[in-house]
Amino acid sequence: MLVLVFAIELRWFPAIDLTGPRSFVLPAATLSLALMPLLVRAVRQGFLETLGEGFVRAARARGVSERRLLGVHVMKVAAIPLITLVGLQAGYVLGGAIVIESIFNWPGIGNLALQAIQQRDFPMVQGTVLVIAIVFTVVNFLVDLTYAALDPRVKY
Amino acid sequence: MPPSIPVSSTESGVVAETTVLSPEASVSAQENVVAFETATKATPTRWRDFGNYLLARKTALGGLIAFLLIATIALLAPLIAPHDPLQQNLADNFKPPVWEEGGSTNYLLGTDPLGRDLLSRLIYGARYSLTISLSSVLLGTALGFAIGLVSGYFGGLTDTVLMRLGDIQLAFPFVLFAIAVLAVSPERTPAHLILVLSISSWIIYARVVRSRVLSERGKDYALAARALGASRWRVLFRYVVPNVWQIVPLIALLDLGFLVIVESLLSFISLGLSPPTPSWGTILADGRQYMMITPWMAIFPGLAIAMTVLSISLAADGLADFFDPKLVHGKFHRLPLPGPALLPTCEDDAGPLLSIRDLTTIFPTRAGSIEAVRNVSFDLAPGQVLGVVGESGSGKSTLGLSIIQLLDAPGRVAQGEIRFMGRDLARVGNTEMAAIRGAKIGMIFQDPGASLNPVLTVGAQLDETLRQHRKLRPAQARVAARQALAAVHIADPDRVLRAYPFQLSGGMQQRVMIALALASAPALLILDEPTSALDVTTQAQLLDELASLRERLGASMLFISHDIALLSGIADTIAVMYAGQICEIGPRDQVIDSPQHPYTQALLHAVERVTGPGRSRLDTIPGDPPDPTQLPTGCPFAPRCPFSMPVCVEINPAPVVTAPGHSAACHLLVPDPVGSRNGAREALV
Repeated sequence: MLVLVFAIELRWFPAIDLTGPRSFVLPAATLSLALMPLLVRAVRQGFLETLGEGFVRAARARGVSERRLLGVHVMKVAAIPLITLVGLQAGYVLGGAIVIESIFNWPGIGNLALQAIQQRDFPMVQGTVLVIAIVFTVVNFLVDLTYAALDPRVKY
Repeated sequence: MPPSIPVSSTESGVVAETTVLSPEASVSAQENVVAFETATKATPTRWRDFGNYLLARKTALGGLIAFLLIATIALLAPLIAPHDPLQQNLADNFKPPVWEEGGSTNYLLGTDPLGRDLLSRLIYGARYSLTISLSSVLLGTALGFAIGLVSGYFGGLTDTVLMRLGDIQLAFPFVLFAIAVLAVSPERTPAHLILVLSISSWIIYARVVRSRVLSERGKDYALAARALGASRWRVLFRYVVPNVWQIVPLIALLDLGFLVIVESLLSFISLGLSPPTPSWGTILADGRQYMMITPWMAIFPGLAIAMTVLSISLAADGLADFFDPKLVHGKFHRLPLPGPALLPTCEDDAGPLLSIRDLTTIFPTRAGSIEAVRNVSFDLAPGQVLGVVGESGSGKSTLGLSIIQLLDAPGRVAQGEIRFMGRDLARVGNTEMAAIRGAKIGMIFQDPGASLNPVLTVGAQLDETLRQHRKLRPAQARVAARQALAAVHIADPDRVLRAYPFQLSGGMQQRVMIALALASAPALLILDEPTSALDVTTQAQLLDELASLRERLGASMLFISHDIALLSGIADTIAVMYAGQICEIGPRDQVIDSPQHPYTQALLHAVERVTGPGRSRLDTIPGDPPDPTQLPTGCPFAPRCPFSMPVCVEINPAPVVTAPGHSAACHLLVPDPVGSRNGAREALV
């Protein structure tokens, strides 16, 4: 979210409107940069926590190389909670998209919702909220499926 | 040292009668309550700890100071601001900052289109922005904390309703919610924003607090307090809350930074405070409209927000590491002692496989370094089993980890030699040590469930280990893996290979661990309470297994256990550890039949009373092991020893040889206790 602030300083470089693939770069970069710090934090925490687990020590005790330990053992275990986080962040992304669309003046659903609210067009507000809610639900459903694929302990 | 937890026998007797807990359980439960109460009273030192900790972490301190500075500015806004933030002066509009052409010292950072002083607006903006975020955090925290407590502690329907409510809210993008509320209100005052922001943040606190409460509620001390008759509310506030609240300031701080940004976001989509009230968000949003003409109008509030959030994040980072110190030490870090690792070779086969001299392992802490293992020396011949027995905290596990060089940071070997196959393991480099681990020394840990990677199949873990050590092709490795499992008497190797650890029983898991450790046929196997987590029947099976493996493979074993009876069944030599020292070591039969050290005698006595006739009352050793941070200068067992003499408190006894291969460290064994030091020195050599 911090980067949203900087986006404004960057804003005068590229075109504001939707004018082809190149105009995707800045809004997408802004939004993903905004999510990054939180994820970096979570990844760090997840890795550190997993490194403290008994199986890491046990793997070291039987001579598993440090590279394999990090790349396979720790990675697979630490990735699982991170996937959940990414799913929840879909909510922030959708919310953030509203702001980003307004900044970059995109004719997206976020902008639509915003204008509908400003014009007190309530059926339209309801419609956009419904669409956004459906997208969020679908994303989280996919996350749950990924979860089952990654973690053998979860079965549906 | 006097026992730190006084539990009188009459008190515990009453407990046993009035509760469903067994007598032993209630004694330990009550100890837990007492221990817990003493622990929570130690708050002043904790604050001092926190101060020292902050001083040591410059970034966290810097963040905190920067944030307090910004907060002070916000607080003193009317005194600092050079102008009224709302006062318009159309003649002076679009003034650039003072250092640019056309700027004036009257308006340090320039003015906006209505001629209002930007600096003053920013200072007042800090006031509004911070008030809004802080109040939202406080309100959200209070709400979330209360809901989390109730939800977690009372469970049932309350919990379900509250948590589903939270789920719904989480599923609903926050910005939409804010839009819906704020867009319909005709005027947007700080109170509106605080309401929206706090409602959106309570669920985070509620979830965290709830899960913490759930785990605390089930802990021994809370259950014990309930069993002793404390009311639910008393348990909640006296025992659960003090253990739960600490996580809250940390999340609150992170949330604070987030809310500062959200406030500016809302202003951005024209849902912030109604004009003309200045907040950083509204100033930024104003500035955006005049980006091309007056860029400074957007840059300065942007900087203010960025700096605030940065300072908060830095402080929160520091806090996080303080409240969860184990995360700092997550990294594995080993520092070999200086000096040559290669020992002068005397390649005679009769020599011991493992020979430890004067090994001391320390854990440096803020309170001083703890010596977990002190001056330990022993030899282990090829094919022999050395049993190490001791209470929890006696340093036996640390001894095992020192040998395989897998001590948790910041623990390290401070002195001594670990001679193994012509190398000194305390001094070999990290690469070489990694090659020795697994190949020459294997280790099996107490909890097999935690020692296997939960998301990799048994086959994958065996395969990886076999290929690491034996350079096999995939097909060969599969055959070898099946053989390895068959060697530990697993009836259905193919099924087990495909299984994930959680699908196996504890006994099977430990068999797999043994198969893993034996995959490379190590010369030395360290077993750290390998059967403690298993039930008695499985224990017996595994011990048989280990005994037969030992005969077949001829590997030496270092068998660590708290159960001297168990060791007497498998070990050739038994070493008794107390407070980091070996107080007695000798051939099994001698140690069991004629123990020389009072501590060994007491240990055996406790076992005899359980297995022998007339098991009226469990015999225990009175008192507690010494505090490892404050080890006595004399014999560490002296305070609990029934034969304690004046010399015991003053001088730590050195080992005295009582029979070939049998020695004990006790003043009683020296005819002339005062001269014992000299006698003991000779005995060692």
